[in-house]
Amino acid sequence: MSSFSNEQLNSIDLPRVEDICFVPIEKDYLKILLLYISLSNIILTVILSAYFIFKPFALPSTALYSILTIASIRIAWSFYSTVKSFPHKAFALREKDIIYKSGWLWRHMVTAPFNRVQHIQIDQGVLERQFNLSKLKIFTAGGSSSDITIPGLRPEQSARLKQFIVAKTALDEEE
Amino acid sequence: MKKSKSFDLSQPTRQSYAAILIIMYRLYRVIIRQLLPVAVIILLQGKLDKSGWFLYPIITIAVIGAAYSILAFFRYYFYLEKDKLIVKKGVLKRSTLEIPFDRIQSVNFEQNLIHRLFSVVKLNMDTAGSTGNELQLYALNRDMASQLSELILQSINSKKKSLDISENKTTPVDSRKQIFGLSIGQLLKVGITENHIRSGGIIVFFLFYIWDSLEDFGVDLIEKGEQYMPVAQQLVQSMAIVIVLVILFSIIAFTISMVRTVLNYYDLKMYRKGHGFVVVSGLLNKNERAAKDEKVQILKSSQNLLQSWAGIYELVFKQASSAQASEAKSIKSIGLSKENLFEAEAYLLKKNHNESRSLKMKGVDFYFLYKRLFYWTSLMIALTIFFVYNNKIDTLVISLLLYSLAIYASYLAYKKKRYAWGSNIFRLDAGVFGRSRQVVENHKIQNIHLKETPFQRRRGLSTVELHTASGVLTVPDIKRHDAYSMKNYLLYKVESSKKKWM
Repeated sequence: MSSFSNEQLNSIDLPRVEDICFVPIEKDYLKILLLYISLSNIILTVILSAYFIFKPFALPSTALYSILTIASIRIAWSFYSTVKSFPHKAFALREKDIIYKSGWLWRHMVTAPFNRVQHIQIDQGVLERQFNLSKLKIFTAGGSSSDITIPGLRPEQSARLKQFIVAKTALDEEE
Repeated sequence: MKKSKSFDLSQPTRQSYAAILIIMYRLYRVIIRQLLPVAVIILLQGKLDKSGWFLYPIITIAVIGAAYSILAFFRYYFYLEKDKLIVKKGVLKRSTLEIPFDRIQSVNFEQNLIHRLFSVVKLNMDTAGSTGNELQLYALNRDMASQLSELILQSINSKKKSLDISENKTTPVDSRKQIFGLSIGQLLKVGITENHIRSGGIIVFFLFYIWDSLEDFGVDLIEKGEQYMPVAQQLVQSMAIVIVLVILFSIIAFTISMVRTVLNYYDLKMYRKGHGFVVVSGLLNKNERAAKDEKVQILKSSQNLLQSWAGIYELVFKQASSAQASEAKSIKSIGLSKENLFEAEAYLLKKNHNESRSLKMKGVDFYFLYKRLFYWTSLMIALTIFFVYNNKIDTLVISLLLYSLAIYASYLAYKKKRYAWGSNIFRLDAGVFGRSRQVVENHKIQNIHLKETPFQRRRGLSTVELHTASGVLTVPDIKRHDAYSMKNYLLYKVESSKKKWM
């Protein structure tokens, strides 16, 4: 037991996640999100209007009204919550780890230490290419649910981040 | 163990001839599984005439299967080249597999009845790729198998040795020390204390499976069943039949657990070998599974209610895997005493194992219980209204009993959810009627998630998830302040640690 060293730490001196200044992601990414949501809402609207035009089967009017109400609330809510939660998407780079947070009502914050990063990937979808944006994906061995995806970064920003993290990871392996 | 004769593995080698049988067996099993529902239908509908026409396709399939197995056997070679294992195989499409030794995570032996008859073993090699990348040699001469696995393990170890020579000297790779062996008496104890509800679930699942298969082939059970409904209703109403059925169901469930236990855990032995653990068990299929210390990410010990009365524990080594903790990568040992548990833990955690016991455990916030009480109570209120409205008071009484059980279970879950972090170890306890304990070394944490629902935020609470390479440890509903200081501390530990997580 005596060989066991247990360094005493003052928890106040530890680097604190809560004092970090987060960098918001590019505003253009909101446009992409809104476009995606409009697309899914258009599909919903088309299905609903197809019913009213063709009336393939009869529905009681109470059911109809409730479907309409739910659909319109859903559409309004999806836009509102996307806009509201957008400012919460932000990341922070620290000396030894990267943090990404998101969510307006349901908040989520992931921290991945660089010395646990397996590999990094930069993705760019069709819409993202139009807006000159990209996604940075950071993989650890913690399983697919724990991988970090930071959207809404300029491609050169992603590349720089990737380079930085890769360099840190390599440095860690040398030691 | 007898002295093995040595084989030249650099030459292309075939498996033992017993492999033909095993390939055939596997092939037939797949075919039979596919055709079983059809066979059941034909038998049920009584469409079999005496001409025996159905024999011809069966014989044809059997002959083709046998020919395929023989071809597959003769076209399957393996050999070693430098530090790679090369496998050439394929009947119609030839393919060559190259597996560098350092990709091989573990080598496991397995024997089923056929293997035992011919005294051969099956070799399973897990590689670091995704699932389905495992390599299997169906049947190998025992000596050849041990020579092959020794060669592979040596090559892996020699690479690692350059890093820590001193450590390897103290425990030679070959020494095996038995930590635990399951006697027949203990085996019965394990069988009796199994989770019988799960076995009951298997019966229900099996019945559903048959039902489903029959419906696929157009046998409408509901229609047939309705013809007997009036009779059935009369029967069910007599309480005696219900009791008999329940007893029968329990006996079947109990028997299934017993048989499963004996088949899986007969002659279970847990060894300490080199820097790892080996668990051997099984009646018909003898399984040998190995876990190296650095691969084990989470150590989980647990007891269900019956097991806690009997004073025995279950121990699971959760190993790192690319596809998250699948059952196959977890190694389970069962029927252990508290001392066995201590010993295994002491081996794995080395000098830190005392810490896991001296940690001061903290409970979670009352909100954890409140949330559950809220769910169950609102459900109960809805049910009460429904049952009173429909005048079904007897059903209401039963659901009230279930409700109080749910409340009690929620309370137990709240009381038993406890967590603690120390300078080297994180520990999470949980349980409802039983209890479980998971221990993870701090440096094996991969990343940390912090979550807050709007309801938690109002109460200043957070949920912390510690992701490891073999699963997630979730600490729900703790004070935000605690969550942050835990996160900060564990991150500091991971980031300042020079230890390899694997």
